[in-house]
Amino acid sequence: MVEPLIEAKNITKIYKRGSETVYALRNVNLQVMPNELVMIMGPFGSGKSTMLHLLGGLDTPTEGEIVFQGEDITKWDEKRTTEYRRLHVGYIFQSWELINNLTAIENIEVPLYPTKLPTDEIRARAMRLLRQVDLYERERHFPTQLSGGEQQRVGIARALITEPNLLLADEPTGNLDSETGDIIMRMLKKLTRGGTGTVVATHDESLRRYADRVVRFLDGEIIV
Amino acid sequence: MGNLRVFLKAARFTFRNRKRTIAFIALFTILSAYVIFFSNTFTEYYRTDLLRNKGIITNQIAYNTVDQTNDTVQEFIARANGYEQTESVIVHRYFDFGASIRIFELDEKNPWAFTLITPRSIATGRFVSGSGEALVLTGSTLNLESTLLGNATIDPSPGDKLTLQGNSSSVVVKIVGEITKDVYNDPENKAWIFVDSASFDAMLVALQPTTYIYEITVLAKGNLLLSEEPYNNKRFLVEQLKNDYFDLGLSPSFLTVPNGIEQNIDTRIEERNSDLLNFSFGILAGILLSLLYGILLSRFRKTEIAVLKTVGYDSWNIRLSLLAEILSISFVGYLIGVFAIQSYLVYQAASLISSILSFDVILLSFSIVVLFDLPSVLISSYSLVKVRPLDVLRDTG
Repeated sequence: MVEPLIEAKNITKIYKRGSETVYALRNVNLQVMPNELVMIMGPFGSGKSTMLHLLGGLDTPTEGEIVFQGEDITKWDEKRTTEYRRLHVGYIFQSWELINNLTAIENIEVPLYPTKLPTDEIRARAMRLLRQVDLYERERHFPTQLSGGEQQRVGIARALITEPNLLLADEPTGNLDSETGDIIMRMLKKLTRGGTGTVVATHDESLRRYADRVVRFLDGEIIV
Repeated sequence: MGNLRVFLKAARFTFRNRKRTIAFIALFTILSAYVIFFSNTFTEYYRTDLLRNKGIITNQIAYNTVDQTNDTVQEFIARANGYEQTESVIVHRYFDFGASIRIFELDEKNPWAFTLITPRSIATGRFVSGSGEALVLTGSTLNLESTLLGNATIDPSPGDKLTLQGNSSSVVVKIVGEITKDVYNDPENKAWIFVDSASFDAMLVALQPTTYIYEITVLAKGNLLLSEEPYNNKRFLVEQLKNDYFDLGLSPSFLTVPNGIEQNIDTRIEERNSDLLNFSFGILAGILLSLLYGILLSRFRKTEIAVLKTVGYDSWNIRLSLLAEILSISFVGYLIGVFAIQSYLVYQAASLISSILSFDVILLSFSIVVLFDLPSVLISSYSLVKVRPLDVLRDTG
């Protein structure tokens, strides 16, 4: 039997907003298997981004545990969590969040600069990914010289350069037209191989055809 | 390797952000120029003005009149050394080698305490810094006719070796620089050679010449920048040395201890205070600029740092990247500042030779500029290392 890549168990996340208590997530359970594209769907404020942040080690739950390779990542200190993000997680942002004074290839390479990998190896990996996302000829372009779709593809390549186990995409097509959005989703679907698990958070119903499994969130709870 | 790469890449990428980079390089250039200018002023203050402010000089009216073994001169030196207000007594000696060459001793530990030449007098090459080194006058010709070397005339230049042959042994010195001819005002028209103290002593042993005292400089105790103590000490020593001078009957072999120093001292105190005020203003401006840069950097790079943390940068990676940016900007600003001040000095002096910034000035001003970077590094590190990636990502779902 295949073990889940990552498993969220009884997750509750509470935010304090002044004197008000807001439940972002309530007793949520979620498993992501290797080679699986899980789509978290729900309206704005339903808790899907919070779920991604927790899976990616960017935030900690108020209750519950997140098990990755047999260990609860919520118990880790800052150093181990940073290492987890660097080695195991690739993050794709809605608004790409590329660094404007870096070229496309440098934006892709950035996560590997602090590692011990030789510079040549980093460049070779980045070039390979640029080819995979069909941006080979845009290597030296700065983000402002790229279209939204192209920027998102650079963002995807950046998320993949560390060869992560878990790919987290928060509204990856949110700022793109539908045609470009389809290209991006096909790319994500194609890349969810070789043991990688992908979690996409979106409110766009038209994307559900790319999912291996859909999980619906409403008011911090899973409804389907 | 990873940290080094983060540092180098961050330094390189800094210059891609043109508006920000140009603005801060310009500010750091102005600040660096200010610091370099005043570092130069203060270093010169310590060096060139050392004699004027702390020194009491007695030197010869004519050559070959007071030899080293003269009892009254030795007594004068001993008394000068004995005063509590005395920091040091520096004696410059010389001897004649043959009929046309005069060899002077240089105290390489106190190169500025000699009225004949200082490091600023260098036309080509460098000043004496160690044993076995010599300086000659620009374009001088050494006529060896009446020396033990036999009949010869040579035109020495930096790099040449000069052998002074005695009856039983010889001393070899290497010429490391040439002195500008401005200092040359010898009525006897001899060729002058300046050698370090150790070589001079070796020559005395090898050549056994009659040695004369050219100059006795008494330096008063105290820090010129921090107190009026050296001026008070100098006032005291002038009176004492004058008494000793006449008591020992040194006149007319030596010039008398100078009078009329009071006005000079008061003027210099005023100048010093004004320089200190200006320098303090520069330091304050530097700290403020650095703080401003740190605060702005924290705002400019907040999103970028959040993204870097998301992709796995730890606190040290972030600090190094900030350090690289701040150091790069200030270093480039500093280099332009050095160039600007050097150009200004050349323009002022209308001579490249006498206005090169010394290594000490470069080192001192660079250290100050690096210290200026501290507030910006600390403030930007403090605020950016705390950034939570969620601050960037919270805008969705």
